[in-house]
Amino acid sequence: MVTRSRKRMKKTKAPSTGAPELPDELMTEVLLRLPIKSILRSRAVCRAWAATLSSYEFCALHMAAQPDSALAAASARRPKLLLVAPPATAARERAVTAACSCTCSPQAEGPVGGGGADLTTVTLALDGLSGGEFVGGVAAQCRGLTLLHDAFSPAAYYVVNAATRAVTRLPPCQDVVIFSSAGLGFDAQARVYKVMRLLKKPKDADVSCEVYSLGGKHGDRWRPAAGRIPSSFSSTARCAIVVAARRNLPPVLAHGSLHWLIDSLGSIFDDLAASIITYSVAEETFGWVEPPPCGTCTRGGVHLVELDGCLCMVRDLRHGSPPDCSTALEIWKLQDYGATGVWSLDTHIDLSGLAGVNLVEPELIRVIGAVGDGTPVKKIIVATSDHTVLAYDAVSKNVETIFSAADTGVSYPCGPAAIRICLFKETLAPVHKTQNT
Amino acid sequence: MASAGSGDEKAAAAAMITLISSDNEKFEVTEATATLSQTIRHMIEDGCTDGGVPLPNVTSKILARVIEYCKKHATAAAGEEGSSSSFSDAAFLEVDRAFLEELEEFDDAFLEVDRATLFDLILAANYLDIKGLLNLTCQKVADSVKGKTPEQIREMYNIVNDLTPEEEAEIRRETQWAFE
Repeated sequence: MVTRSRKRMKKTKAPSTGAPELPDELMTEVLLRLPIKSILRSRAVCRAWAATLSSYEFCALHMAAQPDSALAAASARRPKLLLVAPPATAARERAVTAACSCTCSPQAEGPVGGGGADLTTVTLALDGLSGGEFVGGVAAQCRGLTLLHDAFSPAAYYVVNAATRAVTRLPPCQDVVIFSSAGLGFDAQARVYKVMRLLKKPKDADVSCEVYSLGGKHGDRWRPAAGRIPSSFSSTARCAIVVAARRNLPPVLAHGSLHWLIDSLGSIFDDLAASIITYSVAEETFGWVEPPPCGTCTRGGVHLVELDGCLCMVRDLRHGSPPDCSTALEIWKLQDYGATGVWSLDTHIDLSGLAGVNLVEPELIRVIGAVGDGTPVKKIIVATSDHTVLAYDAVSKNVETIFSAADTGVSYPCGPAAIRICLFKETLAPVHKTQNT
Repeated sequence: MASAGSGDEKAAAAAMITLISSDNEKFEVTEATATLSQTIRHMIEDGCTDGGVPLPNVTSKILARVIEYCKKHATAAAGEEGSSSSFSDAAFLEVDRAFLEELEEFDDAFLEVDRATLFDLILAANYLDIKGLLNLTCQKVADSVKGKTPEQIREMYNIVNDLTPEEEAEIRRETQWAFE
């Protein structure tokens, strides 16, 4: 028999009954293949299992074992989606607002229109959501965690792991905040998730950045970021917050930094120093990225997204001004990030020529990610403001509806259109409870 | 796929490796079958397979099963390589699909063993570093754990519950939905 000595789990065993046993490291291999629900339940088996199944190491192995949506060919046909929807009316009467999240894995051969969607509805209690209202735009998840914010109280943030159904409400801001915009990232060196937010306090002339480390050594509080925003970038940063709030555009995580985009709204400020500003998650330093040669001023129609590990900017030319005006989307990709940084036009999607799908009408169209087996991108995932999700094949130029909220009975409140869908990865990432939860 | 490459293929097929189980039984297998094991592949690369490969951790009963698996999957791998150049060809895809179905059926039947044998296969797959087999067998065990309550798991694996009632209640409370 193989006797590997590295013991990770020191199980307390009953006197041997001759029942077959596996060495601990192979038992770990088995446990890694369990669905999340079984893993959570198995924590109640014994102390050793509880410790193993809650450990950072197990969580990391589990994450590595899950196919990355950008890499696995199999998941290209069944991307997991996280859809954040308002609760059923019954929940509202209790004055507790909740959000339902659904993961959806459409069948490969499922009928077009999301009929094959396998929806798991999860109700998460978001206590303290103001006025029974709802959450704002949802950014891409970061290693299984998603940051939500109250649509009407921009300083109220929640971190959610929809796979383990854990939610934590971050502490509110001490001061009155006019505007803020936050994103979520992972500091791989410190092994900690950080929520970073830009905010403008009434008494402060400058915009500052505050950081909340989940379960980190800094305790249950926001603290100033290590790096400050230079005063020459003050109005640029202020504008970034305004754009993020008005457009429901959370910052985009790519290359270890959060990116805020300044679009045509920036024209109300006359001394902008940059069109894309950044904060690095690990070093917490401020920076900026040169915009693509096409500029960022397509009226209301530009957003950032991370595709294949690259920062990309999407232009919705339906909102463009002549000559850049057509029913098309352009995806610009930034190569050599951090070095020379060269933007190039990566994909051009003609929205009018897509058979069987109306992509000309929706108020908003956002690219939320890509699935496929690496480069070249196989399928670009697009979400619309009526909460339909489509997969666009960049090679064949075919488009396929993979989810439609209209088919599920989910309804959204009227108001500023926001995309509340993201691609999603099931992980065990812990959501540390705070005093506010 | 006719005559041109068949000479080389024959030469490759002729390269036989002898595997020796812990109870000293000898198994002659082709190199293509043996190299599904990364452990053996490295031994072949290092040129230390003359006179047979002793596998003191694997009994003849288990080794025979492992070889059965490797033979089937080595054929599958060869089939994939052969057809990859004609990837767009519908006929080939059809053949591929039939082959994959057959392979799946084989795997399902292969896993119809008692728990002790399954565990021995996991140990052998780990020792011989056969990724596909390790994945297959671990998944089989995971599937048997999947729907079980903590009590049932303790019973299956002969584990004593050393959590205090308070600790267990706390774990259950944290993710209550998983216990419903």
